[in-house]
Amino acid sequence: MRITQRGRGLVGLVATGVLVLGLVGCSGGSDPAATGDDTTGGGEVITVGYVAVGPEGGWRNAHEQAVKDAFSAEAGFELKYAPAASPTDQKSQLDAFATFVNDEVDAILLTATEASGWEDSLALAQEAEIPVILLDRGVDAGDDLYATRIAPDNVTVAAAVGEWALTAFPDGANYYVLEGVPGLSVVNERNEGFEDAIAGAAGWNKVGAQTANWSPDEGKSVTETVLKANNNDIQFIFAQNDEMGIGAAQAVKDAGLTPGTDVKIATIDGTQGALEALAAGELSFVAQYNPFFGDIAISAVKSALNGETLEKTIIVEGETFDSPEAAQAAIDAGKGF
Amino acid sequence: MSRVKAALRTPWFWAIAGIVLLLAVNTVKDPAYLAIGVNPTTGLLTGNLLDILRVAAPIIMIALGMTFVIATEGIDLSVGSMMAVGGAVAMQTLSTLREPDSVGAMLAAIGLAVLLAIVLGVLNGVLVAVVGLQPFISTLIMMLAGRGIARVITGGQNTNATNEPFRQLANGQLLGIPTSFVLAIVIVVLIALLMRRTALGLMIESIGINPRASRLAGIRPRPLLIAVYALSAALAAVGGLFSVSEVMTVSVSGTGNLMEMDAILAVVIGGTSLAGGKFSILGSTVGALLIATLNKTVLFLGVPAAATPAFKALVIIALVLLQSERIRSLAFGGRTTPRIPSGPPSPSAGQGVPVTKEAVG
Repeated sequence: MRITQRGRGLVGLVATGVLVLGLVGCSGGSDPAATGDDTTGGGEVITVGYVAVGPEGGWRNAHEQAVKDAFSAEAGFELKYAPAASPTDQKSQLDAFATFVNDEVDAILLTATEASGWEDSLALAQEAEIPVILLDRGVDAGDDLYATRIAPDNVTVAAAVGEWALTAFPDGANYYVLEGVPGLSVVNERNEGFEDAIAGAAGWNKVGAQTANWSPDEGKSVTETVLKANNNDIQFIFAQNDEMGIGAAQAVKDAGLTPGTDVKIATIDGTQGALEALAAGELSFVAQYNPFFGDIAISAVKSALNGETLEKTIIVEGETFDSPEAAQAAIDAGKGF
Repeated sequence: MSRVKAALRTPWFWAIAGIVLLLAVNTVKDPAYLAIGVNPTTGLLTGNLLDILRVAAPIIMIALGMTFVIATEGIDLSVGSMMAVGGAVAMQTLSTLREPDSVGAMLAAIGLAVLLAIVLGVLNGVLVAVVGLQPFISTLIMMLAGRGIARVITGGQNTNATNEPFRQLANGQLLGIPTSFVLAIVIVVLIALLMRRTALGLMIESIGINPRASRLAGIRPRPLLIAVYALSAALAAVGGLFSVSEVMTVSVSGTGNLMEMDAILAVVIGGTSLAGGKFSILGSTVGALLIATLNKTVLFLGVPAAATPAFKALVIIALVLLQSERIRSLAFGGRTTPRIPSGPPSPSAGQGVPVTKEAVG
């Protein structure tokens, strides 16, 4: 394993942490030169290149920060963070990827801005025996070209909402779905997960579904009209993101109903605003689309460097919050984003 | 009889007919549709009509600004993003000031939002009038940049805030009518007076017909164009303020999303030609009301989400066809030749001239 100039300086700093974590043996044994640097106690710095998306929104920020925090110097890593020039700029990502391959980093983390066009880069990394781990977004390439893809799964998250709804409404309910921007795979997957979870249960009556374009004011506007059109006879609203759910709660209140009692609202994502709304009793259930999977990424990197074969998809389980207390605890623990 | 014919020829007459028709369809579905009741918890009036007026307020604002831009033969694609910028500035200001019930904080939020929008609008105007970029391109750039600016302002978050006076903008009522709609109408009237009681409106139209000729006639197009884009941006920011005050949250990607399309539709339905050279403030306002009614009708009728765009498109196509001189003469008989517009015989200023790509650009 080659250790860079900067990494050399870090060795002393991280030696203690490395010892505690027992990282000896993670080198993958690809480069015998590394043995010469073991003077500090047998620990080595694992250099990881992170081809990231960069500033895109609350979820992305929380996710990338979690990865950066996990791959810390204390944990025995040197993380080279390379965000894209813009959230849609694949060119800069390809360049960063090539640089990491040339620098012979130990592993590469990749969140692709575009799914296509990665075959050549991935093949180069494979040739150089650098394992590539996809975070969040997949790529259109053969799965032999990368070690694994770690991501939360929309179907699973939406199924969590459906399972909670079954317990909250044992006799079923009239429900309405606030969908995201039409045509997105996220929307279809969240529909699929929820529908599958409540399929077969008695008493579930879908009043309708309409897009509110992920936006809170449209969520409010849609909900107020739907309530009027159905004489307030809706017990459950499934909002496919937090913002629309927060808007729906306003409409429920304006209609003279009580959110949480007359109409229960479940949302997906787990933003700070949604946790606050849940703590205030305006939402009834928030399923987190978990951005915090730095630790899973670490164990995947270690396994890959040890030459183990990983599952091609690792689904990140999200937490769910179903009470004001749980929401408050999550806020205190900094789980909002 | 001639009065009826004149009414049939007024484009926004058909928009009003459309609104009435949509309301009638809703009333058939539910006879209590038009009923106005009192909400026992808030004590405010409640009803579908009031909801329509409330959600129309932001559309009226962006359609009004778009009217003047289109009258100069331009287009402003950045109004939706400008709504997000205005909302982001307001929410960020209010959440920083943390004075839940202070009118001062509200005024500061509104002032800053409109100010920043004017700066960005002037930038649009300079790109169009001084640099000479196509309005389509310069405002497209601002459309993309606007969301980024909104994101920078809120630090990537969907900021929420509490300020009761600000919340009343959309959720309060004046004499039983939603405050935001009352404010929107006041702004429309003020701007209509400014445009029609002074020569300003005429000058804007003359730029739209022929900028070179207007300059020879002593009108300087540059400051006028910059002012028009600044006005459009400021009005869009006000629309954004109405939007975020509904829920006291700004969604940097959701607020104002695709609203520029609503604005363009409202303006066109109202009878302003995309080829520039004439505008109808009343028409745009009616057009905005029609868009709001249409959006609410889709929800009230429970049109499936997948079929919604097609349903909206059908209504709008029907309206635009009814406005076409040729279709009307086929349907109702009468003269087959289009009316010749009075004024200079500019090919792009005529009514019923098909909209060409060139005219949009």
